[in-house]
Amino acid sequence: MSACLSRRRKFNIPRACLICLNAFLLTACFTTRLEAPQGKDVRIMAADEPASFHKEYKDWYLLSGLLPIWRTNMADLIAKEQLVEVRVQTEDRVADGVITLITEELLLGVFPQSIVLEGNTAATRGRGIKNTKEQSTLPRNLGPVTRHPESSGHPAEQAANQQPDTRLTGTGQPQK
Amino acid sequence: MNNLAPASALLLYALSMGGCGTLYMNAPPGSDIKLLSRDAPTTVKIEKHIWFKWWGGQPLHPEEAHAATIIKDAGLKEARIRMTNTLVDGLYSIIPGAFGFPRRTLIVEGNREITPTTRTLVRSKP
Repeated sequence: MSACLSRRRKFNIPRACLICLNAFLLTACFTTRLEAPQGKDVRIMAADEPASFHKEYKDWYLLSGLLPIWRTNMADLIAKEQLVEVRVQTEDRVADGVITLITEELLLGVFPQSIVLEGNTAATRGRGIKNTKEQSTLPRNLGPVTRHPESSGHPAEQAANQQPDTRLTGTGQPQK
Repeated sequence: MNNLAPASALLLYALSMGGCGTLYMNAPPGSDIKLLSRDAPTTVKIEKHIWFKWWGGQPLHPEEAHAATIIKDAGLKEARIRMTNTLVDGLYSIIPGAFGFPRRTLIVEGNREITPTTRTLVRSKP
């Protein structure tokens, strides 16, 4: 009986501890911030707005997020790329998960995270390429979108399109 | 063979815990939301926990994976966004995560009105 108990203890406790440790290590801690650089005027873009700037970055953490090795600073990037409007998406991809899984077993806990930064500079506002992937996942109830048939979807352009035609002739008829 | 079973189970469990998930830091369509800097004062802080299904392949409620939903619901005019996976998220994910339901946290801080300190920075529309 005692032999049976000691045998069970010998096998089960380390295994349970290992599973708990593994589960705890796999639930990595990480943070991605979208903030504007100091003194810069930046606008947050909607999901369906065109973006001319599109770049992917990777954040790297060690020991399941306890030790950030390389963390992307969005404010610095926005300032560097001179973006005036931005949006970000954070992705935990399967490849990232596999890296974590393998390194977790080696007790390194390397945790990569993919970050996609999209935006426009003052020169390219409203002239970018639509993010079709993000647009397809955007729910339809996030607010009214009144769009001109030939519009790019940019709010500034939409506002301009909504303004009444002020080019009137002396008779009050719109100019042809 | 007997020794392989626990190792396989452990690997399977670890594999199931390696959840994915995509979160969008964006604004509602047709809006003009100003992005705040890190030290800008804010009056509103909203924390939302986003659950995913299929090991992060799809959010449980797709609209919740967009910061735009929080910004719109709170009526914010300026905001800064943070996506985080805290220790609490990790602990919550231990059991549901194994069944393919990982969790992430989206934090939006901002103001319902453009604050005087940031008013001067608001750009004029072209």
